Amino acid sequence: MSEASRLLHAGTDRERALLRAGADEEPSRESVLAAARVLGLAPRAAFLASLAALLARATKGSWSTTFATFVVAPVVVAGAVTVAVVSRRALPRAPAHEVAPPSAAAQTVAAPQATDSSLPPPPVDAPPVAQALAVPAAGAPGTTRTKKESAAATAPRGAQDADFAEQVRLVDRARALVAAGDASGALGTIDAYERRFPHGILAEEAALVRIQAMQARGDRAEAGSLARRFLAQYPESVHRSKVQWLLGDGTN
Amino acid sequence: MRIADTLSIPFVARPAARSALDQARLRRAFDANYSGVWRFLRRLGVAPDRVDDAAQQVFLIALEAMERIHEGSERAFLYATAVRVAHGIRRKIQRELASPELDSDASPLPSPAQLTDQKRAREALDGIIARLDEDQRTVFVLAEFEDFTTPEIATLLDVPLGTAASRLRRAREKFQLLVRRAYGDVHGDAPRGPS
Repeated sequence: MSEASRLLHAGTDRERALLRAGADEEPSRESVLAAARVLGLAPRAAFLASLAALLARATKGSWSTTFATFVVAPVVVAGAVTVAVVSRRALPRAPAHEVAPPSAAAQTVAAPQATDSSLPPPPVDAPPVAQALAVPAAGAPGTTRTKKESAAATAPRGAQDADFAEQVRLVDRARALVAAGDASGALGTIDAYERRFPHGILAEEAALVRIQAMQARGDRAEAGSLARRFLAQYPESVHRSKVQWLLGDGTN
Repeated sequence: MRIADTLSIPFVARPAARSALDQARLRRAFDANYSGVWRFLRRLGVAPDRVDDAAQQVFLIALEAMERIHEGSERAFLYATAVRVAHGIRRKIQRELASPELDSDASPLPSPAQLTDQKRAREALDGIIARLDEDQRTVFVLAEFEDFTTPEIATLLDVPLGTAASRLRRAREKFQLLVRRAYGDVHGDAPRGPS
């Protein structure tokens, strides 16, 4: 009804010219990238490549597919920075061909059932997602293993895997507990994480969950104090604007 | 200043449950709607130097609320949120809002030939849209630029269908009148289709 009489199509020449000027306007590329960064969305190509690599790794080791989709994916989308750190420090090298076609990756991410994230992951009976993702893609630059990267993998592969899996498990558990309203449980889990991994790769995420848990507990003063410390400690964090926003400190 | 300060957002203090599913939905919603939301905010009168911030705010709110947004309603949620964000900005900083006067020397109306200059045409357009009532402007922009149907607009703004339809009709009439007046053209140029 309204579309039939849109002035954009049916108006006078002047009306249409004016309206078309408004309809054609697009944000700049910088605007899009900045927004994606604030939202913790990595640039699309990097996001898909990293997701594919992480999922592929996850299913080859002791981790489950469910684990990969429920736990690794949020870590991946937490931002390009995290992804870069994860793939550099915690994961063995990914084969050069692990780049997913966009549709496959999108379906995979959308695939998990709409389960309450506070519930434990369901039993593993899902198909091997990583195999679906790890379709060889011709001419995928940037994913080739370099000598430097190989040399960076110092710890035995199995130990690294287990360590990283445990870190993700703890932080994700804390996150789920906050979501379920169990702030104390979440804080206990974060405490455990920080005791066990004082320089853990997910320290930043753990700190964020701690702020959220404090807020959930109604301890706004402590949450504010932690948030300010977070901003000081992680000035480049992908979570920065979120923390600022939660803090409501007017610096955003 | 922060846009969040201008709004009453009930879920700011709520802990985020950011599941992989929510993130994937945000990703899709972002890819599909960022440009549209950004443009929508511009047409609603959010100044160029504020629009990036405002658009980010819309998506941050969506991210926080994602688990409560029905699957498939992401677009409507984003635009409804954008209406609130734009409204909040307007309320808070009304005097700072760009409301160019049509007869201002600084911004003379482009001649028909100059309408091909998109930037000038846009300035003129925004000057005209700014003269619509806020309610009319919202439905007009949703319908003309973002291709929402009247029923969709009614749902999005939570108003009766008849209200949305009459607002839109009046908005279009007023827009046409303003364009004609702006060009000193009492009778207007001939419409292409039935009006």
